[in-house]
Amino acid sequence: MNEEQFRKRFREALGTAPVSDLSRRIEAALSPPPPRRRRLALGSIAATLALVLVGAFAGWRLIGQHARPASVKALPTHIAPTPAAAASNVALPVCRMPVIVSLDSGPPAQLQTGPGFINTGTGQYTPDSSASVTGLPGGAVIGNNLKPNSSRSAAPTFYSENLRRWLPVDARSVSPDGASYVWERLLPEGSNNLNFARSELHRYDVATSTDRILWTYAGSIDVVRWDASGVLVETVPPNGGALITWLVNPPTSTAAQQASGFEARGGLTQLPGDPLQNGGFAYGNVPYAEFDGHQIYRIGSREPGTPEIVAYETAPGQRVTIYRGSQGDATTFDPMSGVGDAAGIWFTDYAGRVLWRWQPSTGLHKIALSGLPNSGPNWSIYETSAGACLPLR
Amino acid sequence: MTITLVATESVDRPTFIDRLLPVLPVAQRLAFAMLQNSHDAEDAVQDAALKAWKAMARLREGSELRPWFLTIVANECRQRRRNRWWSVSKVSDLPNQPGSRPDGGEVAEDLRAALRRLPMEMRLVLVLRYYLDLRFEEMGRVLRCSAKAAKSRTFRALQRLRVEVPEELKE
Repeated sequence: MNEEQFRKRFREALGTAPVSDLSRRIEAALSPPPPRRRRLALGSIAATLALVLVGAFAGWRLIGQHARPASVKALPTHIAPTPAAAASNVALPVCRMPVIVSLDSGPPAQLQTGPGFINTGTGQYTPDSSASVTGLPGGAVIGNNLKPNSSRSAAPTFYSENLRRWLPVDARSVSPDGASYVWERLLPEGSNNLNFARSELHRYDVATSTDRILWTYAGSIDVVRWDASGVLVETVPPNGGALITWLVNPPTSTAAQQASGFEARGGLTQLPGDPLQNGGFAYGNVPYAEFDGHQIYRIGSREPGTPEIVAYETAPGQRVTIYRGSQGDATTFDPMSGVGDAAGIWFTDYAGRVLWRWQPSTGLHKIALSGLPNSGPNWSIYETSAGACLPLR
Repeated sequence: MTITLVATESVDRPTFIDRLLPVLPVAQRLAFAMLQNSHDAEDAVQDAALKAWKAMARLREGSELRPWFLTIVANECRQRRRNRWWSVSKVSDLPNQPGSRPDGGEVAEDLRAALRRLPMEMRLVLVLRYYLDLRFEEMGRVLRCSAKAAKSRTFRALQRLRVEVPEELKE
């Protein structure tokens, strides 16, 4: 058998991939998830729906008004149901939640961001005009050929309760005690994403203003998280290629390669009846959202009308469901990021001007926000969690 | 509110998508050949696209997107092969996959079974060479090795396949 004959037999044996709309799906997946209200602004039908929603929102405006708990929906028996929030006046924690408010518009895409705090008792947002990360290393975005305007200096991103100040990196890079953070530097000094050869992972201790190199790698370093086990990072060669996951031990500055990115990050165990996206199971997590040491996951899809579950797992297959419904249902729950505390989780929402509180004993509650910047017709607004909710001053 | 006006990554998403779309068919073929499941293949390519977007800033000017992206797809396929769900529930799905059904003959089934027994790296080499028709130079860029090494790996993979299905390759 010559090479061509083998090639023919090889192809026949493997068959061909079916025609699919993969391109469209990937385009959709790569597009920033628009807030619902932006979609609703399109077209007369959508405008009608928007009016209906305005009426519905009027009913939601009362602070602390409760959303219909997802747990009232029929759940497969294998899923631990969220206790129903039957009571109408559940006392929610009153605290100051640090957030980054973002306004985006486009095309051409533009983004305005600013740090501030939300009083969870009143829903009032107050910008933090004194926020600054001057003098702190890290957090800057370095440009490249595809994004000529993408370079930007560091900005307040995470509020450390321990340090009582803003840091230029997000929650993933901050130590469990909130006193230090890790940041990446491209080398040689002065290089950018186009011409760097290697990277350094630095640890900066804010209280003592000391910076030291934790680890170096012949490629880029992206921090996945910093927890009690160490700093989990992903590396990519300078020219792109396979991601490798490492666990860096801060005290010893040693790194151990992990089995794979997926296994290192963990995941949610698939259960019968789970909604799939494109035939697959994994959808993603809710950034920064953890409760009782468990990462919060979303499975399903954000496409309108499609089923979706927000849940976490206490052991393989032992799931606690926070929300089970469909995108765009009456609950309107569409979490963007979150932060957990001893009693529950605060969720920000793609809808922008709402905050959610979930507690195991009371379910989901919706809080309307006020005091946020006005946004024009082509702008959307949303908040990102930026640290633990703080006691009121 | 302290406002910082910056352009977001989304400024260049269309550019990235425009560059990626022409590569998607070959990427999907690669994933399908590696995973032998159309749904898994699509998910693998989609996840690879998201990872590529995340790492796009590191693709140097002048570098080819295609081999770079195929490397990411191949890696994604490796990870999915290690994923317990794939290994438990999807391998046996092959005969029922949509699309052009593979040849149902006994010889072809032997070949498919032999490919499944091959280490992932060897299977990847054979898929790149005989399913995607890549030249050794491009195979080297996907495999992160020289063209000569890619050729050598192909030879070794064929040798191994001959052990698995000797009659098939002697015909």
